[in-house]
Amino acid sequence: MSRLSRALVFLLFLAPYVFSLIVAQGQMALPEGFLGLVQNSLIQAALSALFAVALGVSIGIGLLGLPRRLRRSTEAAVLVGSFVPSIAWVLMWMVLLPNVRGLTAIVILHAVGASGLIASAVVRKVRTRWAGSLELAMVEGAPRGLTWRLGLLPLLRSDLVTYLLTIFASSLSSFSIPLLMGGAKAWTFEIAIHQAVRVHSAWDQVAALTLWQWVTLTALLFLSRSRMPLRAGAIDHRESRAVEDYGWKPLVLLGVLPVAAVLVVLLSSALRGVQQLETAGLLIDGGELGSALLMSIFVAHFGGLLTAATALFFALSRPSETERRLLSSYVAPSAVITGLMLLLMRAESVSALADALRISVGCALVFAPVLWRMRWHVELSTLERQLEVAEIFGASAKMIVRQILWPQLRPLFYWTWGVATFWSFGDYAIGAVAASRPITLALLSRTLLESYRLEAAAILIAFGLFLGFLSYLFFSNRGERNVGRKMS
Amino acid sequence: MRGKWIAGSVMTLLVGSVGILYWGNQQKDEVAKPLVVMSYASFTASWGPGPELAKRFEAKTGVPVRFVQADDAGVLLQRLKLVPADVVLGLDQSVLNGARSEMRWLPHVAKVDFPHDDLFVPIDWAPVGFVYREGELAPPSSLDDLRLERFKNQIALEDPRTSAPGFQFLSWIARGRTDVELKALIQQMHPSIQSVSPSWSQAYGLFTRGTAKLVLSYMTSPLYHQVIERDGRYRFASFPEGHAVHVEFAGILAKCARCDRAREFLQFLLLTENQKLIMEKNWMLPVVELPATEDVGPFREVMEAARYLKPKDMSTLQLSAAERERLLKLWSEASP
Repeated sequence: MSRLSRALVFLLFLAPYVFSLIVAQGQMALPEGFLGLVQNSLIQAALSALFAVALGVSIGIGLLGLPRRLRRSTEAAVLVGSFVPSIAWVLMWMVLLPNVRGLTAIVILHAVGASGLIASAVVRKVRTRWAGSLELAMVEGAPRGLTWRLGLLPLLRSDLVTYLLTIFASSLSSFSIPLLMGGAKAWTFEIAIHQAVRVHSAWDQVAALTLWQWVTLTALLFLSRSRMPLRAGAIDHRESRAVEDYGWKPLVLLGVLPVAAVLVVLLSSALRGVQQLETAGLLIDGGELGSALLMSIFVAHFGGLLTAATALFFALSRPSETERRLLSSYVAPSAVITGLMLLLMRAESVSALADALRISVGCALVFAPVLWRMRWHVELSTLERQLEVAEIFGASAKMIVRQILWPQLRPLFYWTWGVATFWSFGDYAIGAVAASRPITLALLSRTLLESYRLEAAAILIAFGLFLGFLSYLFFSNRGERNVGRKMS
Repeated sequence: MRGKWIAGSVMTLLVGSVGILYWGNQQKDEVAKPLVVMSYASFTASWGPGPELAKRFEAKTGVPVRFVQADDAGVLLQRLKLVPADVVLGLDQSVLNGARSEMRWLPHVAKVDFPHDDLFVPIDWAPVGFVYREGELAPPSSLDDLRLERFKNQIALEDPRTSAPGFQFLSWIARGRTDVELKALIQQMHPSIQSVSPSWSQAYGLFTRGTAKLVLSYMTSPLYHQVIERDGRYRFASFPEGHAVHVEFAGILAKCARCDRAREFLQFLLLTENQKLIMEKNWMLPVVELPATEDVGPFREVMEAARYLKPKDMSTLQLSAAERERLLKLWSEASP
């Protein structure tokens, strides 16, 4: 049964690839200049990943230095950066550093965009796994720098590799930032896929490029993991004073300042945006805006739930290490392919429900593997020992799920639901292809952007971010509250 | 307890929403079978011309029109293979060859004094060039001017690989130039280029936010600011050497379910009152002559200025796939 469950999950994720192969009629062809494309993409993605992890860990150290309440809200604020649309980052960059372009700008923008997610993951890992060790270090009087350099960073090594690969994968499929910051010479996989689909309709190239991207990441993940033992302490959700002492508050600014700057740029012409919403008729008859708001809430939460449920379903089916790695190495193909594949789900139906369901499923397909790679894989690996012992003592499969897996994975389930909901609020890439009309705030903002109304679009984007922020706080708090109650 | 209550409420809301949406869907299915028109989102948006056109067509024929949004051309063609539709509206001239080879189309019967063929009817058009704000800089008066020092880091362009106006700009500057001359022009323009955006909307956003002072856009763009925002500073820089043009076409899919109504709809789009509506809500120019007595406000001046830029025939509008490929390659080689 659990084998069947795992097979179902893999089939679900393979569907977009199978779809692109069917559209390409089994043909594959590499585009002209493929080697240059590989070189550009790899350099850009590797540098972005390195810088993002360095920045994310630094911000994480900063967050750990904050008291609990402030840390939660600051963590969520820093996370906002990971959900801001790339055009907002680009606008901020062009206002602050108009003359810095090329690889430097691409790498920094990728890094600041992704660092919030890494910081959040580092905070959770250190707090729930290494708090005890930090208490010991405090008793022994170990200085902060030394503890991080010789203690925590080596212990976090396998997680850091995971974050590197995650950002590497997302940078490979980055589109707007390389194009806008790198000029016409910008040449990444996503741009090549975009060009193959939209300019040439060359699906044989699309199939080859997406497959190559996936194979590269799988190879990297397997190579890195085979040399990397997964380590973790026992789960401990107590708030420890030692954690706060070993953080360093000022580093939080590295995360907070760029997010504040991007939000200022995004909302700098809010008044004009309200006027634009009015001229578009969206404030006179609030029906369209209201319906987009409700639909966004539904799509985001349902997409978040599907994402978290997919990860949990896979985790509870007790996948082997190889299967866990396979899912970690998965990269969803371009949003265009995923969106088109989703049209196979009742393509003739243009109802809002069908559109909403397609977007939600698409979000789960794209986000579940990313979040699995970021946290679930390592978390599940660290539970292996407990599961082995439980099995030796004769625990039934049901008991293992109810007494070991679910209680320890529950906070992660809620965190995943929260992050995926936050992300889904901002999705327009899948929705633009899979939906028959702009049913969500993100899609409505894209349509406004195409109708000369940038400021109105900025207001809707900011509102979506605010809703995502609230949802993330709710789910993240809920996950932690449950654990506290269970433990006590 | 409170947590369980909240979680229960969230689940109830989710399940309830599915139920309500499903019920709404069932209700809609009972309505008469509509004419399905696929077009881009800003055309079908509530502030675009789509909803009003649908209302007028239904009032005239009794047939409801359902607009379905499409992404840009390449995706649109793939989407058409999966999603049923009768009419496609908004194909620009650069994708017509691809559309012809990838999909089957029915001939239309519409008559219009504007370049067209038996499969595709033009619905609107606009010259493409550079828009600026008065008082910020002295506008360019030719393509060669774009190389001048005073435009250093001021121009927001669209990438011809991903954007229709971007490609039209490339084919415009390629006109009458050898490969060497074209490459030289692009290279000499490098210092002036502030950004190369993947789409028109992003480039225009950079311009309205003031990070670029000149943007590749439509001759009709200043009209939006003038009419809607009451801002008269926006201007189009006219080049005596001519401009690129962007023409949007509509076609009838061979797999249409309501083919006669689809033909009727294309003719309907060319009626004066509908062309006026498209012009005013889509910020493009009509493909039919609007009577001089028709009050079209500031559009009249732009229509007059654009008269001499009207394309002569379909062959001047379209490029072969090989030619397109060659230009894109030259662009990539010569670009910054």
